[in-house]
Amino acid sequence: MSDDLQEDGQTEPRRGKVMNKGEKQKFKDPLMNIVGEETDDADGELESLDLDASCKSDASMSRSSSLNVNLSGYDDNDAETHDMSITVDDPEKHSGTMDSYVTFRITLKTTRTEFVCPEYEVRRRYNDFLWLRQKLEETYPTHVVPPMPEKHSLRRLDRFSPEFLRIRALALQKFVNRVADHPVQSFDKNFHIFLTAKAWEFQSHKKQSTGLLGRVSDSLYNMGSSYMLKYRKPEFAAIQDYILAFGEKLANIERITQRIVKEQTDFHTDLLEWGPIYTLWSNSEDQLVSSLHSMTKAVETSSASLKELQSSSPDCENVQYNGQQSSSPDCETSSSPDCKISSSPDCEISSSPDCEISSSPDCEISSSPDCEISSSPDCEISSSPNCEISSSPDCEISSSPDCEISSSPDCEISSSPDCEISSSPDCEISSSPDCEISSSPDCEISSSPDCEISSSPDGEISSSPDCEISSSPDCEISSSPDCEISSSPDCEISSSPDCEISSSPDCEISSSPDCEISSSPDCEISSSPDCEISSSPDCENVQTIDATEDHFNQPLREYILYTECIKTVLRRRDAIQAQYEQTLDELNKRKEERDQLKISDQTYSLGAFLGKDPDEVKQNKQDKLEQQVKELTTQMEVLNDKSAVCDTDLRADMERWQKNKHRDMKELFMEAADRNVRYYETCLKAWEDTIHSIQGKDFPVTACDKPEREDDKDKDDDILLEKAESTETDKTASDLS
Amino acid sequence: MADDSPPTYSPDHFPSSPEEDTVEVAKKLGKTNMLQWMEIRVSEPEKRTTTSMKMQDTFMVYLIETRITDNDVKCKGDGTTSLWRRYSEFELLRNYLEITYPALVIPPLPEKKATYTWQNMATDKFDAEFIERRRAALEIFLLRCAAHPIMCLDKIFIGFLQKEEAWKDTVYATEFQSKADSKLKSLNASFRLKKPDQQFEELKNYSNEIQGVIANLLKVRARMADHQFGVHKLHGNYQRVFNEWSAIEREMTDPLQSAGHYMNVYAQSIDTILEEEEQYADQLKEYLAFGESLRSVCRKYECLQYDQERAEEGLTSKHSQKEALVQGKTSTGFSLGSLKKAMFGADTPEQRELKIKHLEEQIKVNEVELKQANEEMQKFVDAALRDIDRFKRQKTKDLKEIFTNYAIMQIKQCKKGIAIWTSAKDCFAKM
Repeated sequence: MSDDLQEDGQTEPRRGKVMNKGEKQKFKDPLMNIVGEETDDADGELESLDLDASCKSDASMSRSSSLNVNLSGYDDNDAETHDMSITVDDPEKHSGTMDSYVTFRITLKTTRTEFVCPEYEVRRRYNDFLWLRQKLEETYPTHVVPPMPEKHSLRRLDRFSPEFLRIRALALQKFVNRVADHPVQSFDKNFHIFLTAKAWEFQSHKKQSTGLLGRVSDSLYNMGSSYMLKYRKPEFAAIQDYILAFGEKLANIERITQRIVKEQTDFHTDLLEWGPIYTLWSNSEDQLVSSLHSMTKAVETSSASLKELQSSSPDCENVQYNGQQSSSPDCETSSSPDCKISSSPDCEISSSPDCEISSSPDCEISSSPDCEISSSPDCEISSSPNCEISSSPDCEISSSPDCEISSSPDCEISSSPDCEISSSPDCEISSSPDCEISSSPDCEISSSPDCEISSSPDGEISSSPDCEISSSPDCEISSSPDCEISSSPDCEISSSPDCEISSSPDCEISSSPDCEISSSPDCEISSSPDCEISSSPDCENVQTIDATEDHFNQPLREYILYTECIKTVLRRRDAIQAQYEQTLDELNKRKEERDQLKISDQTYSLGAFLGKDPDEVKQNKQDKLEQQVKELTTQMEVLNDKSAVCDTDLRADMERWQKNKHRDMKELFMEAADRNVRYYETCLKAWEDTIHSIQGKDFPVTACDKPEREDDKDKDDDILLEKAESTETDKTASDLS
Repeated sequence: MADDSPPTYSPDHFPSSPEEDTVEVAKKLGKTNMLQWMEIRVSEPEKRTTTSMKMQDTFMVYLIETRITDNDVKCKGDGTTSLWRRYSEFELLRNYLEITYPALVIPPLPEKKATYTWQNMATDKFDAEFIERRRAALEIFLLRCAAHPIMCLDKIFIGFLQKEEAWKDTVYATEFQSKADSKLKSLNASFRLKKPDQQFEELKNYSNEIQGVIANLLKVRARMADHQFGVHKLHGNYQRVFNEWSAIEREMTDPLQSAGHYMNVYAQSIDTILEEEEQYADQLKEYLAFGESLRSVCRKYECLQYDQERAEEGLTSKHSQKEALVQGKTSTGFSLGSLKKAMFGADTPEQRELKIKHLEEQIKVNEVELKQANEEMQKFVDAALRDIDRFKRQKTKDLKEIFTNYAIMQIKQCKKGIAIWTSAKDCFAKM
């Protein structure tokens, strides 16, 4: 509390400056233009996922930081920034000849004066969000830019599955809203364009303002320098430590939750089986029919509420998405040839039915080496849909013609869009198909985490970032016939062993990609085993699991990603500090030299030796050193300024983040507890009803054969309930104490 | 129960004992079952080891205590007895009862070793939990016998409860084993029955159905227990993470720690829940075993019917033989008789008379036998149907109670869950 007060006192005077938003906006525009013009090169790099957003040149840096100083006073007052509300929903699939992708509807409602209208509606695709985030990172290297949802589902959900899209839409909504709530980032010009511009406007703006090729070296330098740092302020060292530990804890929680969900799903399956047995029993009893039926009912109610516990989202939502999905996008998929590629069945394509595809330009891909592909049209493919392709079908490619690619031309690929993929989210993808690939010449490609995978397929996967995958679905897969699957992924699945897979936890896989497969051109393949899978209740279960994700694990996930973002910013801060320290060292050295020079005798210097006048030499040197000192001092001042700004920004952002985190975590856990309470309440009600219906239907009790309960013969349900209650309360009390 | 007709199969071929007096007194007082005047408990299992012929034999004995509760029945002493019995003696008693009262549905004994187990259930024969569940089941067995209007009057049963020494000898003295039908015979009977009785066929099917259903229930329950256990125990992991996490937080330390505590409580709570649920499983298992008892009644009926059909058959064949002899001259066709006739010439009339007479005697004997068999069967059917009726009533009542208890258990579990999660929520709210 005392901290807060102090902070308030400090920031009060600043707030006056930023009250007028219009003015501030005006102030910012020129800056943005500078950035835009400056980075006008290299169009092709638009899609890249480069994680280290680079630093900007010193000039723009110092100007933006001064702005940031002005704005950082904002941080304490959250309420003021809640004047933009953004929803992201309604995913829609678009299929082109080369490329198919999904756009989301973004609706902005705002009261801010700088927007002409109070409401905007635009459609953007995932890559546009990526672009936005990248721009934000470039513009505010010292601020924590909220994380984006990962490019790929960890559980290998198909990119076009409604479940995946729903979760992604939610995560994207969270992302843009976090930006909108940020006191600095929400005034960003790119952000406004992203929210309001028409498609063509937006595209041209994007083209105009992209390019970061020149910054790679800069960021690399930053990376290196962070290790040379002599002294880190304890404040930031603490943040670093905290973030590391926090990320680890969250990852632990996530893992536990996933395991619980898995057990719960199994339990749910048991309940589904357990209920009908009572009904079956009632067929052979005449006196107990109603009792047995009420047992069934209670079990069914509990299983339903267990499902709800896992997915508290209303089912109708799912249904709605399902409807959309099945009605529109997939039809298009099957109609246009390329969809088949992107949807996943590429493996089949390459093995046999490629003919259809080969009518379109992709035939070259499978039939002949990938080089052509990578050089021209595939870039687009690989940038977006190829990820999924590579998740499964690339294996086949690699089994035959890709070898050449991997040996040499793949490098080019990786240097362009593919490298980003492989650097971050591709790991998961490559976990499955790459194993086989790497046994062949792909090893060189998979120099990073894939090598381990290749040596013995699944065990090592878990050691690398694939842990999540292997912990949940992949382990089982590998124990079951997944070996065959991975060898050439989809063909075998569809041919036969998928049955077993679906019976085992591989359902997750089949739930997502297979459904589409069966609905899309894969039908032929899936004519026998896959159909059953997609229609079977297992799919529902899997959907349940995914639904839990967006209520508990998705927010967790966001914070895990957040830790990465903060780490990046911390690294950048280190870099700035390092640069400052370096300059300071340099300056001190020069100063020392200068002082030395004053008292030194230049008689034995090189110049003097060459016959020059010692005094003149001394003077020259002194002048030179003076000049250097002067330059270095200015530079140091700039850097000092920069470093201070950086610290302030980061501190403010961390404070905001801590506050948000606190609130979100509280909300998250309370919601989880609430869900559990609701689940138990539903069950409680169901079982109470059961007791009533068992006891309520009276029948003549003539026999008192069951001896030890003779006394209880005429007890009624109320007494029973009371008994249960009283023993229960005692027990709970003793348990809890 | 309106069943106070004289015991159909009560054997009275062994000397009267002092215990009989109390039973007689009770009977005179109009008590229809033993539990109205006696209390029976199986308390306190004990592990014993005997060494005979250098072979160590470890077994459990159970203390059986009885106490006469009705003062009118009490004759001498304080009316209490207590003695030790081991499982094999229970088995002997049950075998005796089963053979002596073939028409009755004999209550089952607990299972010999644990079935339908899940990961955390003890499977060891001497595990305290297993022994305790067996003790409870043995008590139920004795109570069920004592509550039965016929079995409770059995001298051997009463002896089992009250007479420690030489009880085994009295059992063997009844030579009950000689009455046992061989397995082969019953198997034979079930295959060769000409017109199986509808009622018993239905009963047989019913027992199969009930066994199938209960076995399924138990199987799924074991799996459920496993998964429930997993769900709860996994929540325990939160405690560790929450504790570690609370160490790095400045503000939410306490709430996190106490929330972790509740997660641990949640993890622990499953132990008692599943322990209680085991009782439900045991009760279902009893009815699973009752299915076997029902089948045993059916088997015995089949044996009787087989005997009866054989007797009938014999009689019919004798009749036809006689017929043939009476109309001997006109008999045609190739038979042993005609062959004989052809070889040795026709029987003299005297001889034929003799034969007919002989046959008539046989027929008479057979008729008596058949009558006996019929009577026996009728008696059996009456008794069996009466007892099955009793069993069905008992079952309906029991199962309702079992289900009610299960529901109560679930309610308890739910309440516990609500309590824990509400407390946890309060903790989170303080964050």
